[in-house]
Amino acid sequence: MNAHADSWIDAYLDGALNPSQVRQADTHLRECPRCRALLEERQALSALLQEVPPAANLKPERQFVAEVGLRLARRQDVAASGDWRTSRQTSALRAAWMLAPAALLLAWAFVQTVLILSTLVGLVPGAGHLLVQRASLDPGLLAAAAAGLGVSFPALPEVLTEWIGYFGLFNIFHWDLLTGFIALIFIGGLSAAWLAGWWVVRQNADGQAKR
Amino acid sequence: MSLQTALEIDESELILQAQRGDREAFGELVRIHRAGAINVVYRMCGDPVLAEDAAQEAFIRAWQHLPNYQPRAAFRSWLYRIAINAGLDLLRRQTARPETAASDETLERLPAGGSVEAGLERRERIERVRRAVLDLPEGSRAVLVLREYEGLSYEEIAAALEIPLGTVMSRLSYARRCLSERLQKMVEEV
Repeated sequence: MNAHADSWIDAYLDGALNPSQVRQADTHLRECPRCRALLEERQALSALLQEVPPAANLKPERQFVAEVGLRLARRQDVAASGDWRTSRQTSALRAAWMLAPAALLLAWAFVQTVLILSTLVGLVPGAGHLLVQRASLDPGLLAAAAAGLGVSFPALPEVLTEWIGYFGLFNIFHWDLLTGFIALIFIGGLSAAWLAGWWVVRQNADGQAKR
Repeated sequence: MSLQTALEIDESELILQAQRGDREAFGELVRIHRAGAINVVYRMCGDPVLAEDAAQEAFIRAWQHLPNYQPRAAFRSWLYRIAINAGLDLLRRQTARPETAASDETLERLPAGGSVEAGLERRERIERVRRAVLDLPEGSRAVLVLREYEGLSYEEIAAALEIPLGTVMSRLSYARRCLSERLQKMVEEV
């Protein structure tokens, strides 16, 4: 260890060097007055720091331990109590959160099924014509449903239904590739959002634990 | 079996029991680590009342997160991190850092002897050193306190503060250099 002590003096002082490094450090310190002075300075600083006494006038140990117990009991009572409605809502939300992946999986399965059936419908000669005939008998359906079996969703906002109709999502069993792709992208987005939410909750829980 | 090993086994057993919900076992852990937790916070924050409050809060948080405690880190290291965070949280909630000089009771614990003048000089010196430590950045201060006053190894400090070993060494070196410069005259007199 021929380099001056600046980089290793603290490790030397704190016993963090291995035996070989200690021998090298000892050799260097015997030969280098500058580094010996640095070592003495660090030792003096350590002695000075030790002169500062610990905290005094503390509560008796028994009182301290008893107070911890009381605060703990109080904290747990607060956690356990609470509005039953709030706890039921919380339980319901938690259940919905846990079921979300299953719902997304079902949605994905549904989309895949519709795509497969759409392909099969396309393979059957004349099936598209039959679907158009059915749609034309019901003037209440959206314009985008004219090419297939239309479904109406009166509860949806008009703008949203127009967009959904534009992408042909109402044309159940007559979806094209783009429609299926849009549906899968939408489900993928929801899945990613759920994963991000799960990760944030997990990080918060880990942060709480570390604190 | 050495005394140290026997004590470690006892503590491991206490921790296991506490993790199973045994409050008596946890109470014993509180007794064992009470002084260390209070002093770590006291050295970090400078206020003995806040230190006791933060130490109590730390034990409560430790109880709540005991199921997450893994024996790969020493219990003391794990607890000290919680205590330091609790202390800093309480300190931040105060509108301003209290300009708390070391109390008379604290300074009365200094070794007796010598003239009144020497006694006053010593008190002043202690106060200057205490303030110099409190003026260090939090990260460096924590490493210095755990090393100088609690005797934790570099590895234990790294585990306690969840920082790399290299960061422990650089922060400790920085803290000591800062203190040496600031307290130069006093260091030379020692």
